Amino acid sequence: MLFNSFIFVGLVLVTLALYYTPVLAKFQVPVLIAASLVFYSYNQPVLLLVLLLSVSINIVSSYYVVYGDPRRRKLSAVLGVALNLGVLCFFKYSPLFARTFFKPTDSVGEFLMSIPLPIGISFFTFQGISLVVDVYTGKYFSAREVVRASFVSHAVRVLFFKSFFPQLVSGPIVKAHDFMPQVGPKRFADIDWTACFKSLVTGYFLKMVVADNLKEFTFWIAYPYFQKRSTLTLIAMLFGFSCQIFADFAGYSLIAIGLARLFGYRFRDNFNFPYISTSFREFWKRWHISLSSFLMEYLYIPLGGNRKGKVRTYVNLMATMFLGGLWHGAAWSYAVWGTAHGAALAVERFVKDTFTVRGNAVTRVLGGVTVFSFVSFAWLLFKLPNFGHVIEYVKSMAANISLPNSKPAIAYVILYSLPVVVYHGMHLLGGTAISRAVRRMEYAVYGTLLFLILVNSGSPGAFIYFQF
Amino acid sequence: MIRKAVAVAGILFILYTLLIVIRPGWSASQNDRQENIIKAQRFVYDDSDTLRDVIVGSSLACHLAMDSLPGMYNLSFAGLSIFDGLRILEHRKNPPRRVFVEMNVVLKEEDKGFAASLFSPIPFYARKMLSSLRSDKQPIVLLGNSLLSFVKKSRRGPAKSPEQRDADEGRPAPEKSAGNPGSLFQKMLALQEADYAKDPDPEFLEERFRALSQYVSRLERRGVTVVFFEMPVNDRLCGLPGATVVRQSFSRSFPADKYRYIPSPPCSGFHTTDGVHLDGEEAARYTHYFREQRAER
Repeated sequence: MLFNSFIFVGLVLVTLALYYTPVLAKFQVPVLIAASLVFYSYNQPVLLLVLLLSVSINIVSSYYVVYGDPRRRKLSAVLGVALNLGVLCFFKYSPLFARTFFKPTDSVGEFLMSIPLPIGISFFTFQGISLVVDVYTGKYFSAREVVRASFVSHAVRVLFFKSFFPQLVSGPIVKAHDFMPQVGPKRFADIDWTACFKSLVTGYFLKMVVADNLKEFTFWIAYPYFQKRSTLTLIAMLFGFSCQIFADFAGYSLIAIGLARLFGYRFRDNFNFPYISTSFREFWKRWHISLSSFLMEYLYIPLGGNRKGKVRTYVNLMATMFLGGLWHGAAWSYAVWGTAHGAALAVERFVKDTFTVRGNAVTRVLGGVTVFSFVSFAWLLFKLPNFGHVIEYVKSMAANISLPNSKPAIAYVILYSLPVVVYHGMHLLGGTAISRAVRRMEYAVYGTLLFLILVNSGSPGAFIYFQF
Repeated sequence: MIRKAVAVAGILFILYTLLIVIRPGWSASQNDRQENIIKAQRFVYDDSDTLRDVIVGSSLACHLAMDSLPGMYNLSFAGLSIFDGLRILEHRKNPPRRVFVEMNVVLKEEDKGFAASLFSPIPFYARKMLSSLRSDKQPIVLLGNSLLSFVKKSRRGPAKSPEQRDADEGRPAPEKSAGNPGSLFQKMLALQEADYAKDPDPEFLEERFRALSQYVSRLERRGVTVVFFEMPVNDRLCGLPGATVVRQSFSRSFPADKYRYIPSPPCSGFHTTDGVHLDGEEAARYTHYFREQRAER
C-alpha cells in the first residue's frame, strides 16, 4: 500500500477517527496494531506470517531476558539476535546465496531463488534486534519498565512497536529505547498540527513531485541505453539520481514522521541535509541517521569501535559499512557500495590521524564537492547492480563529449532537482536575512508545495527503499 | 499557518485553472511515460463520436507518422502493450469503427497500474471537470517547455541535425550509421535477438491469446471491426521463434478467412534504430504503406 494512494489516506483517516474516539480510548494501541496489520497484509497477506514470526521471536527473547532464568539472560539475548538475523538471512539473502554457490538448474538453488522477500524485513528485523539488546544492556531504561510482567501485555507492546505502520516498511529504524517509553494514552488535543503538516507536505512534495518526476529521466541510466548519451546528459542524469534517491527516501521518512506524530509518537529525523556534508563522517551522521546510528551502536561499538588501535578502527569501519551495504540488498553490488563507503571513511580517518589539515572555506568546499561526487558515483551501484555496467557508464561519461546533448532531459533534471538544492541551500543560509524572510512567508512556501503536489505529481512509483 | 498555506494553495489552484481555461492550447509532455498518460487522458476525456479508427500497440506502433493518418487515433504506448490500449478502449462510450491491433508485442501483459491510475474514480472525475489537473497541463513541464522553446528560438542557426533530434528524443542513432560490430545498435540488436530466440512459454502464450480473443469478441459485439497488423522489425529477428510462433498463434486464434489483416511487408525492406523500432524515414515509409492498406480493409 503506497503512502500516496487513496486507499492509504482512507486507512489513516479511519484509524485516526477510531484512535481518538473517547469510548475507544483504552484500545488505542490495538487500533494501531489492527491498522498496521491491514497495511502490511494489503499486498502480501501470506507474508504477514513472517512479520508475526519475527515479532514472536522478539516477544519471547526479550521477555526471557528480563523474567527468565538470570543465568540464561545472555543466552536469551544472543538467541534473540541470532534468530532475528536468521530470519532476515533466510528470506533476504537466500537468492544471493543461490546465485553465488549454486547453478541455476540446481534444485537447491531453485528453491532458494523462490523464497519471497517480505517487504520491510530489513527494517523490522533491526528494530527487533534493538529491543533485545536494549533490554539486555539496560543502558537506556530499566528493563522492567519497558517489558511488562504480564506476557500478554508485553506481547501487545512488542507487536505494536514492530508493526506500527508509518515506519514498518521503509523506516526510520526506530530504536526500542526511543519508542517503548512513549507507548501510552494519547490525546487529540496534544497533536502538533503544524509540525505534522510541515512534515507531511514536505514529504509528499519530495516524493510525488521531485522523486516521481526525476525517475522518468533517470530510468535511462540503464545498459546499454546510456552508452549513446552525451557526457553532459550522463552527468545530469547522475546528479538527478542523487537528488531522486534523497527526495524519495527523505520524503518517505518525513511522511512517516508526520504520520506518527498524528498518533502522538515522535520519531527522530532520518535525514539532516546530507548533501552539504564536507566529510564522509559527516555524511553518515546526516544520511539515513537511523541506520547509521544503529550500525554504530549495535555493530561498530561492540566490534571495538575506535578503542582497539588505529588499524582495528579502520577494519571495524570497513566491516561495519560492508555489512551496512549488504543490508540494502541481496546483491554483491550493495556490498561493494558499502565497502567503498567504508574505505572512504577509513582513508579519511587515516588522513585525519596522520596529517594536520587546517579547515577553512576552501577545504570545506573541496570536501563538499568530493563527498557529493563520491556519493553520487557510488549511487550508480544501486541503479546498475552489474559492476561492469557501472564501469561502462563512467567510460561513457569520459568518452561521449562530442555527442549531442539531450536538452529536454538536462533541463527537466535541473528543474526537478532544484527543490533539493534549495532545500539544502536554505539550511546553509539558516540565520541569515534571507532565511528569516522565508520563515516569515513559510505559509506561502507550504501553500506552493501543496499546489504543486496537486498539479505536478509524477506517475506513482514505489519508494526506492521498499526493495530493501 | 496551516490555514494560510491551504488558502495560498487554493488561490494558486484557482488562478492556474483560470489560466488553463483561457489558454486551452497550452500543453506539454516531458518524457515517454507522461506522453502515454497524456495520450490516454486525451482519448478518455474527449469522448466524441468523430473518431473512426484507433490503433492499439506498443512503442513500435508509436512511431507511425500520424499526420499521414487523418481520422485515426494512435492509442499505442511506449513500454506498454496492446492490452493497455484495449482496456482503455473498453471505457469509451462511442466505440470507433475500426481498431487496428499491433501483433508484435502480444506477449507483454497489461500494466494494471496504468489503467488503475487513469480510471481511479476521484482523480478521473476531478480531471474530467478541471483540465488543470491533467498531465499535459503540469506547470513545471509547461515552464520547462517554454524555456526550451525560448533557448531554441534565441539560438537561431541551422535546423537540428538528425543526431541532435535523436538525442533530444532519447533515441539511439539510426541503423545506417551503426554497422560496426561494437556499435550500440549491434549491442541492442543482440539483446533483441536473445529475446526473440526464446520459444514463448506455451501456457503463457495460450493465456495471452485467450485474453486477446475476449477483447476482440467484446469489440465485435459493439460493432467494431478489428484489423491486425505487424510492424516490421530487423530481418534477423523476423524469422526467430519470438516472431514466428506469435504469427502462427494469430493464424490459429484469428484465422485469415474470418479476420482482417494488413499484410506484412518483407522485414528486409526496413531499417530500425535498435532492431525493433523504425527510424523516422522508415516509419514514414511504412505509414504510407499502412494508409494504402487501411483503405482496402
